[in-house]
Amino acid sequence: METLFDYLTYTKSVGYIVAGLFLVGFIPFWRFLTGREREDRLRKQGRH
Amino acid sequence: MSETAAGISAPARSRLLTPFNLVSAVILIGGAVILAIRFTKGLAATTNLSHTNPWGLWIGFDVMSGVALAAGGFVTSSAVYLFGMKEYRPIVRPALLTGFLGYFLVVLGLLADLGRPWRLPYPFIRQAGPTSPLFEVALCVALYLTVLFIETTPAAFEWLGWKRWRKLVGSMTIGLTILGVILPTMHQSTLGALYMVTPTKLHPLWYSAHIPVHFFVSAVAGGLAMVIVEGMVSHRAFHHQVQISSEQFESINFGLAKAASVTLAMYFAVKTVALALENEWHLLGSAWGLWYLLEIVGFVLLPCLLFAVGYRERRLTLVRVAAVITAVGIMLNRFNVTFIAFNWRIPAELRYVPSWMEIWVTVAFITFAVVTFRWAANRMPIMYEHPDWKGAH
Repeated sequence: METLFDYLTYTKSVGYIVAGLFLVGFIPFWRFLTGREREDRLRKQGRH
Repeated sequence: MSETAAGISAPARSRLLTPFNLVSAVILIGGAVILAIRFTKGLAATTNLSHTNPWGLWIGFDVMSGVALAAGGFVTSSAVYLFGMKEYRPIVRPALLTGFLGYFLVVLGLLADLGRPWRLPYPFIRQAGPTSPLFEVALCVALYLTVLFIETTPAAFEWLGWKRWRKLVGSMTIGLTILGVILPTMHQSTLGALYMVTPTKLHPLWYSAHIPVHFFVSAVAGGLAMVIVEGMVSHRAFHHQVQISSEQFESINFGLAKAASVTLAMYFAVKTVALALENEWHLLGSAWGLWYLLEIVGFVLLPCLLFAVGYRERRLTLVRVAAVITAVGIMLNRFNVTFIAFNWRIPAELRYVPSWMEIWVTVAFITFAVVTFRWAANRMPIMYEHPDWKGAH
């Protein structure tokens, strides 16, 4: 990195990648968090 | 019960001499003496504050942590009155009272730190300074404290039997709740914005252009955690007043745990993205970096996962442990920003360590809040619904 443009491009790129990873990672986190709740709801509806 | 001239019944008077009351009295009297010294002899006589370290425990704990941990009031009232989550209704009044007392302590702590209490209204009537974040904090805290006071009056009016006043404040609930969302959103973030002028003083791992967002998101998590902690303590202390079943109480706690888990996950993500945007990964390997990692991993990521597992597996103990860790973590973050990672370059001998008198006054303020909460909850319908006003706003 030699210029401010290089630096900003690098940090913004890494920032967007990290933000994207968190957004994608939120899906399994949410599924884990609400997994038992979903199973209970399905059990109550008699689908299990 | 025979009433004395002072209007206190004999059994009630004998109950005054409990170990809790005696210890509280000693702490409060000690605190009052120290405050008297502070107001007569100045900050130097009671604190370790200096021109290098102008903000210490009274700002770091009483103001910064107090505001963050009092956020439970606006989070629960907006959930019930704005988003229609009626199942959380039983915790609104305890949360609002905790919020009111928390903000009242903020003002007390600020007065102890600033001195000259008669100058408190100066920002509004003499020198507004509307370009300063401190002006916004002063205005919002003053307005929100008023809102919280009005929001806690229904319980007092029900207790006193003042029906007309009770109806009047009941009719203002939605408006007050909306104000109660707007004002904390503004000043919680602005408390963080205060530190945007300190890029050379605050350690880069804590300094961020996004620090207002960090303060706001962490305050929501801290508020949710404090509602769980306060519920844990008050349900034990006032179990004879509680009308909801233990299943309903557990269900409320699990709902709060789910929200806290998601909020902490968001906070962790926002902090990590800020780290990436400011390219500070290399600082994580230093001693300060390890301290930062302890805060982020031990007091944000860990309770986030504990809340998630506690909610998923319906384990209340896990949820309560996570709530305590979160509350401690919010305090640690505010301490780091206010004085631990502040002035991080100065030599060790110049670093700020709170004096015993600062700690005593802080403990006295907390004791004052606990005693007031206990006094109110023992008399007013805080933990239960008044039979004449069931289901009313």
